[in-house]
Amino acid sequence: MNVIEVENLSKRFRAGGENRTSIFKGISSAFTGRKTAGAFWALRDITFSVRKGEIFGIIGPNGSGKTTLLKTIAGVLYPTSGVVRVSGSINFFLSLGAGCQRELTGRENVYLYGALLGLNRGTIRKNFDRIVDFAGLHDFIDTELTHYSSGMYSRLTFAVAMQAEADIILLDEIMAVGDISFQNKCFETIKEFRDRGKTILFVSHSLDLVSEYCGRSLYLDRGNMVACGDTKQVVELYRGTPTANDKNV
Amino acid sequence: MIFMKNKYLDLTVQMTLSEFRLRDQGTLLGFFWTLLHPLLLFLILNLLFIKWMGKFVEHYPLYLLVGIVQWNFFASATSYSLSSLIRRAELVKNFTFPREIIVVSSVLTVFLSHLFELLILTAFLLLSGATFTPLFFLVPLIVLVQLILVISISLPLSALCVYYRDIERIWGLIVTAGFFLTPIFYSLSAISEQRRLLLLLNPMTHIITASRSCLIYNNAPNFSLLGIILLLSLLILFIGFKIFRKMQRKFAEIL
Repeated sequence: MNVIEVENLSKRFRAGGENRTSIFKGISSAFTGRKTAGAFWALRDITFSVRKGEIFGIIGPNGSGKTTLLKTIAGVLYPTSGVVRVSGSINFFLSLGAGCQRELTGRENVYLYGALLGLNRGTIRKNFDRIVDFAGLHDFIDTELTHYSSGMYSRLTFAVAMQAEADIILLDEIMAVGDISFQNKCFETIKEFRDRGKTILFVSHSLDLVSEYCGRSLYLDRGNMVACGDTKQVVELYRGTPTANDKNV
Repeated sequence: MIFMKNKYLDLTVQMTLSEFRLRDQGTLLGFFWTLLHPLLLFLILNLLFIKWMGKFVEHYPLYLLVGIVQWNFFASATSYSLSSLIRRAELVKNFTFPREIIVVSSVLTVFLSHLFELLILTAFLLLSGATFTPLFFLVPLIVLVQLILVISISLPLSALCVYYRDIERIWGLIVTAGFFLTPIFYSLSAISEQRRLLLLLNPMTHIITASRSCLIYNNAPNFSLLGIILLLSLLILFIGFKIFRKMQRKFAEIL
């Protein structure tokens, strides 16, 4: 059963910087007839689907549209054309520490971040010890986030995010920070999720991790879908060492 | 509406409290800093106008104080929430909860300070010889109408502000003009008939007048006027909400 279906998805952005328009600019461009914004395609004609219970990888160089794709699936961004069909609830973990208030303590942030993810206060209170355990931040939970390292930051937010029960989990480059033991813990959680029939979409630059955990993968380059299919073949294609018959992986 | 959902209510409360704590540094001292501005305004206007306006207005200092406190909420809540989506751009870009929660929680943050101000104001009124009357209990009702009015203005403006950043400047001008076009430090009766119409079209005129009649003059407020303002605000809120919903699709990429 497919839980995510993406069909001919394209996403166009107006060129950066020009977005900050003003009324004055709007009026003057109405007179001069000059368009201020250029545009570029962050995603072009992407079609793929993800099955229930899969760990699905998304790879590609910087600026290839991986995050845009995740954000469109998550519903933060809307497609310019094409369709994204998602069946089930989505929980996503896009950018580390987004939504946290540095001036507040770890404890306060657990509640704030949980609320942002749609968890109610009761649920967070019930799982509070588990969250702190998972993050390994017992000694710092009443410290303000300003004094946290980026690793601690991500451990805290990841621990909270994993409490949000959802059918589909989107992860964007979560392994960039955090030490080995925390990474292992993360992957144990992810595998446990998969075993419980949840679906995981996983963006990473680490081809080793993608090869190890993802059955199938998608390879993006400059917004185009280069390949989609068995991870081994997709990763090899990305590494530039194509196998014999890789045309239709 | 979306606020019926428990998790969104939780989120609104969480965001309001954390923002309140950050804005006023969570301390009594921080709160007094926010009082300083209206207090200074009160001292200066009272000094300048008590001899002149005092002739037309009974209890002029109290009259002025109620006017400033009520106007101050309107002005600071709209100005603060106007840029809330820009200020919390990070949330818009990384979460999918309804965006109006960001705007509403910004209004509520200022509203919390306003409630404290009202408490202090009431204490001050009672200390300076006003008698406590049952009409005091109507003040929360007036404040509620005021809150709805503020939210109804903030929602569409904050959405527009994402697209047109200079809305913030323009609103600043409107608020400055509004201060003079609302009977805060003068009385309506001091203005000629024709020009009074301009002031009567301003909803804040009626909210401030109603607050004063309850708190100072022990008169029943004009309920039909308050009712009209409430209905109008609800209408604007409805339209503003529609506009907001329509525009919010693009927030994440513009911010």
